[in-house]
Amino acid sequence: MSLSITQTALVFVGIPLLVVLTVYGAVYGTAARRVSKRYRPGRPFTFAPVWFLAGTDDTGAGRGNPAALDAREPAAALPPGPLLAQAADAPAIDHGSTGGASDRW
Amino acid sequence: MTVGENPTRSGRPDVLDGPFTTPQLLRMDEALRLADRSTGLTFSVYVGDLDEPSRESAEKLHSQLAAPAGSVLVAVSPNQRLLEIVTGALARRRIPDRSAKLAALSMAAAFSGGDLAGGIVAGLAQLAEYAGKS
Repeated sequence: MSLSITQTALVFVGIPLLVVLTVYGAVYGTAARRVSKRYRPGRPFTFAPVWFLAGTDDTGAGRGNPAALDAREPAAALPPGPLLAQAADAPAIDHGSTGGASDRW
Repeated sequence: MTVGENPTRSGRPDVLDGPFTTPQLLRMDEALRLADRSTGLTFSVYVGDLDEPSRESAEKLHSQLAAPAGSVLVAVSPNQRLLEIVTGALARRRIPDRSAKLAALSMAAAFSGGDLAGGIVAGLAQLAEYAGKS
C-alpha cells in the first residue's frame, strides 16, 4: 500500500490535529464560557455585599409539641418590612460594650 | 439584604448571582437557623467589603440589627481578607472573646483555603456550641 504525500500528511498531521482540537474545545469551550464564581484567596471578590439573617419565624414556638408544630400555619418566607432596625446611614447607637474577635487570612 | 430580598426583574434573587451555590446557601441558612434556635441569640452573616477601620465598620453593621445586645454578627470581607465577629453585650456573656477568637481562627483557616461557605457554616456551629442552650 503506497500513500501519497497528501495522504500521509492527512493521516499523521490531520488526525492528531483533529484530536488535539477536539480535546481543547471540550476542555476550554465549556469551562471558559461560564466564569468561575468561586472565591479564591488573593483574587478580587467582585460580588455585591450580602447580609444573611435567619428567618424571623418563631421556629422555637412549637418545640416539644410535635402536634402544635404540624398544626402551625406555614410561615411566610420573609416579613414584608425591613429586618434591620435602622437605616444604613443612621448614626451608630451605643448598645453597651460589644465583644468578639478579629482575624485575617 | 437577606436571602430572597431585592429580587431582580426576572424574579431571581440577587444572592444567587453571588459567590455561593444554592446548596451552599441552603447549608448556611440551616446553620443560621439552628444556631438561632438552639441559643436564643440572633446570628447574622455579612459577606462584603468593610470600610476602614474594619472593626468600627463591623460594629456599626451590628448596631443596625433589630436587637444588637443579643446578636452576633460575623462579618467577612474576602477582598480585605479579614473577618470580624461582633457580639452584643448579652451575647458576649454567652460567647467570651476567647471562644470567639477560636471560632475566628477556624473560620479564617477555611477561608484561606477558599472555602467561604464551609468556613461560615463551621464558625456558626462553633459559636452556637460555645453559647450553649438558651
